Amino acid sequence: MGFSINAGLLDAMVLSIVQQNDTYGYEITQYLRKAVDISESTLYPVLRRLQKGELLETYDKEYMGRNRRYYRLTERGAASLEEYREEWRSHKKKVDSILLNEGVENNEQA
Amino acid sequence: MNKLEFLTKMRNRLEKFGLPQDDINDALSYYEEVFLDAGFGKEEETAAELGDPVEIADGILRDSGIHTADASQFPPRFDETQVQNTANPNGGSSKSNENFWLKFILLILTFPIWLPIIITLFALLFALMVTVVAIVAALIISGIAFIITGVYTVIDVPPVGILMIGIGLMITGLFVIIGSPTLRKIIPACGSLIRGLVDWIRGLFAKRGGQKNV
Repeated sequence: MGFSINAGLLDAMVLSIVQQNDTYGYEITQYLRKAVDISESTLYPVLRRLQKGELLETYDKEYMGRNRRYYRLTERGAASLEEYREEWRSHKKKVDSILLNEGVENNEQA
Repeated sequence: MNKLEFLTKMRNRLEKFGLPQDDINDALSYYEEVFLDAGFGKEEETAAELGDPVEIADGILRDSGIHTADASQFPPRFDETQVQNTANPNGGSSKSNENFWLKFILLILTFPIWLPIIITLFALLFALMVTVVAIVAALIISGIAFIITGVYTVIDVPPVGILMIGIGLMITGLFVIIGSPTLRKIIPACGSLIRGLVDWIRGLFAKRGGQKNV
């Protein structure tokens, strides 16, 4: 991957994964790995941050005789995710206009 | 490194810098889960993938605003960490200083344990050297004594005198053949053994001293 992923984008992707269904740390990493090179140790601070900001909440569920920590999107998290998505759409459009020469006539040169 | 080693290293590091117990448990249960979810018999692999437990712990500490003593050796990851570093510049170093003094005091307090051990080691070595020297000296002295008494006795009782001279020559010969080369090798060997022991003890202290940087 030649492009770096910043913290905001990582937060947004984690929120989106959790929105699909409640899930646990390891699965989130596996999911993210489809798009970015990330390790469990990178994910931990992200999850902590989202939890502290009350965008995610956790609950424990038994799995094979042990507890597994599941993450669930809060209302605040869902709202934040929508903001992220909107921001991403406009960001993507701007980047595409330059990188892929798309919609040159709409290029605002911001 | 297996799961237990990994988690222990992390816990030690987090406890050392005083992260609240709740946060420690939260982090450790997360990483334990990672190991468990990665599957049985893949502990070494998972640990290698995760990286250095001490560095991970340092990252968690940084995120909680705790400055670790040797964090300056690594380039700060984000700008915000730099702000945190300047916020409490000597938070970590005073802690490591305390640690050094703690170790120093511990070293003094435990001297009834390590002092006798060192003395015993030196005493054993010394005894070994003395024994070897004594045996060799006994060989020479008894050999020469046999020859001298043999010479005197040969006048009075020739057969006994000749026998004694013979024994004396044999013993002296034994010394020349076996004793002197052994002695020539053993004395330097003892010297290097003592030097090795001294170096080892010095190394032990150096290691203790070096830990103040951790």
